[in-house]
Amino acid sequence: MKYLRVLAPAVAMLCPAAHADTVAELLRQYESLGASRFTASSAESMWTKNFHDAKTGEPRRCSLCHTEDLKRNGKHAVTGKPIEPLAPSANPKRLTDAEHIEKWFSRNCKWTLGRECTPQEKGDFLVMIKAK
Amino acid sequence: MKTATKLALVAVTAAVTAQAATYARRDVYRSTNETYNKECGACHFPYQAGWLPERSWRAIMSTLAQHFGENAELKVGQRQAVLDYLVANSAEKASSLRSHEILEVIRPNETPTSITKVLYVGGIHGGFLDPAFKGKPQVKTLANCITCHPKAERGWFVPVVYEISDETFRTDDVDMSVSMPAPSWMRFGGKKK
Repeated sequence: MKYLRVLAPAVAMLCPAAHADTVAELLRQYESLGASRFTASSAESMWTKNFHDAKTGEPRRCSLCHTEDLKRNGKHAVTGKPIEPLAPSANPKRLTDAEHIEKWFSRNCKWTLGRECTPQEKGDFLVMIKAK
Repeated sequence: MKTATKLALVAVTAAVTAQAATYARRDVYRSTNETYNKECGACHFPYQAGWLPERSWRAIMSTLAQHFGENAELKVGQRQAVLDYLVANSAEKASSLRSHEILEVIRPNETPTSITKVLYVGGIHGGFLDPAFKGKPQVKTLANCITCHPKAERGWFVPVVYEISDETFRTDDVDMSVSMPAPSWMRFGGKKK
């Protein structure tokens, strides 16, 4: 299976628009769930907004782990493990796997906001990240 | 007294050597499960299955929605695959000396869900977490084994890259009349300059 690791970035580089299809498909799904007119700006303002954990009261926000510059490496708030950049321009693997995207939306929205993100919010985030 | 200590040491060494001979490996076995390495390793060092007993892995894998304060839920199939792997390679199943030693320090009525809280691991690393302890890199959490054990992902914890300056061992402000120095065989880092 090792060749996959070599092959995947190579394939990703050959088709720079791979993320476009994935995102378009997800946005269609979100629209079918009632979301509409996705805007990067609403995601931007949510990115740095503090949400307080219900139990500990500690402030949590997206940029805590992913930083404010999506082209740079982030860092896991607890374990310190590096997180690869979210911006497709810096990391072509991003936004190419719908399952991966939904898994991390689910986990990270629950951790940061204390709830699942709405289809509208998820769409806004995708539009914002895609443009980076 | 000194002779007694030495004799005791010889006995311990002999016992350890005898034990080591019956285990296929001294250190833990590397993690070979792709799902485990990918899913769990995405957020933290993929601690090898041989670090905890089966009951601990079952407890951890059944509470992923609250995993050290985070949501780490997996799809049902993936969760089962990871659990199966961890159970099949847990400390009871691994024929490594380290796994054996781990089991020795956990009481039968205990189900530790944090490797770094097991005395075997937490005990010997405890001092590193003291902010007054000056070393490089500064240890803030024990979660990231690989910072000081560069070969940890392969299951080798023996080579340690950690710098302790002489400053760390300054005893000027310590009242030596009441503190008892550790016996020489317990110290590490060689002779003091």
